[in-house]
Amino acid sequence: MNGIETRVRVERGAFTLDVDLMLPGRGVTALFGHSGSGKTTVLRVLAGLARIPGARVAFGGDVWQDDARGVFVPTHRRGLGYVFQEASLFEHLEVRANLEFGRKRVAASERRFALPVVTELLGIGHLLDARPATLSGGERQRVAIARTLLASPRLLLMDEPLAALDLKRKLEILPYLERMHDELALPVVYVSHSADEVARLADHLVVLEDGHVAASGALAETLARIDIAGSFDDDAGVMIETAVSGHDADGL
Amino acid sequence: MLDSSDLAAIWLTLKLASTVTLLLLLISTPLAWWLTRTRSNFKRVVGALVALPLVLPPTVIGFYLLLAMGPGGPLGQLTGALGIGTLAFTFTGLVIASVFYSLPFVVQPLQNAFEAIGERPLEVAATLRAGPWDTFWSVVVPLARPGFVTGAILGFAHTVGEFGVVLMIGGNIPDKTRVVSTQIYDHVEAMEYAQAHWLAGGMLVFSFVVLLLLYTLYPQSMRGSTR
Repeated sequence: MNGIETRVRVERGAFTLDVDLMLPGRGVTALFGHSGSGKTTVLRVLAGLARIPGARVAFGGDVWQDDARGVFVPTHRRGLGYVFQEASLFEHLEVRANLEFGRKRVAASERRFALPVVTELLGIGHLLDARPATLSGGERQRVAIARTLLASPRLLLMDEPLAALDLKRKLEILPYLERMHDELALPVVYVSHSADEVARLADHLVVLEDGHVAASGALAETLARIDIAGSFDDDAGVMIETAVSGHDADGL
Repeated sequence: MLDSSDLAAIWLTLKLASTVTLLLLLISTPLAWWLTRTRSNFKRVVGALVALPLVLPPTVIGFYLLLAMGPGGPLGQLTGALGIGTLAFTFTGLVIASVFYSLPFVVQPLQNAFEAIGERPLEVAATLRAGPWDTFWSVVVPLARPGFVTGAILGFAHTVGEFGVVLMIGGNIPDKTRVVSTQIYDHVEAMEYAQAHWLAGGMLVFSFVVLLLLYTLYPQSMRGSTR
């Protein structure tokens, strides 16, 4: 069993979240839905940041929560990484110490990514001695992502990491996320309400509507399903996977 | 000028305030953290108990602590059984009473500082593999530093300035329980106004400098520190 299993059922007033998901243990899975669809709650349950009675969470062969058997692994022992909507850097530490925070809590033999590789990947090598307060929003979020990667997670959870940024910053970070997708062998669950981000980054798509799974499957199939097109509103469109096979000599 | 009994009183006051401040930090840190994190209904009860010295006359606190420390009181019976004897009219008794009396001045700034940190940094630390104890030392304590400084200064200054509790618990025994505030009282009783001025004026300047230091260091941390 290699997947990510998440089973949550919770009622909050008129809202019922009832989700039973088996996500692939590789590639990027997007949890897509409007705000209030329950996607962040699913992610928090998966991370162990929210503890909902009766939920069942497992990653690969490890059971993280199974209340029937009294199992609950606290977040810090799950070996996962979590990127929040706001960068949430430790303001009392310089960038370097922020990056080291998770890294030094991992045994040297279990470290998966080297500091120079990650700082290069996210383009933050020149910021190491800065205080978080002096960084721009885009820089802060890149440092937060690097900090998470350096903790050598086996699973990366991202909760709308671009939603707090303006368009310019978004476009600044998206290429880094695409590089991560291409260069790192790390399963990612990516929560978003932006169809554009989902189309660019995801391999697998789960559409949540009012606390229920409306669709789940490989990106190309799921995006094309007409019954969920409404979820994308104006963003609905066609995604064509292309590869540039060569350039003409004149550069066009 | 100051005579030897004045100097002894000053020395005793500083010794008392330092001991009490140290103990207050040790007690208030877990207490304030619990008050910040708990959802228990006891939170309000404990919070109100801690805040009592803010509104009660010191003589009331002193009176009940005196009864508790007396041979018939629960504290007195405990110390009696341990062979320590009774704590009333001793330096130790004064320390215990001062800890109660100055508790809110340390707990409340700490609680404000802990609450200001919020949930997020703790969640971030957990996702970066830090356990609760680790998170407390590496994230909470550094972020709450203004609260610790404010609490320590207020606790120290408030202990230096107490009078009613000292009189009730400690009496006025030279070198054992006679602190500056009771020494001033003695001078005034004996019509020694010049000597009273030296000590009283010293206290005035000391308190002003302490508060000025605090307002300069952490202008924002003073808001609500004694709400």
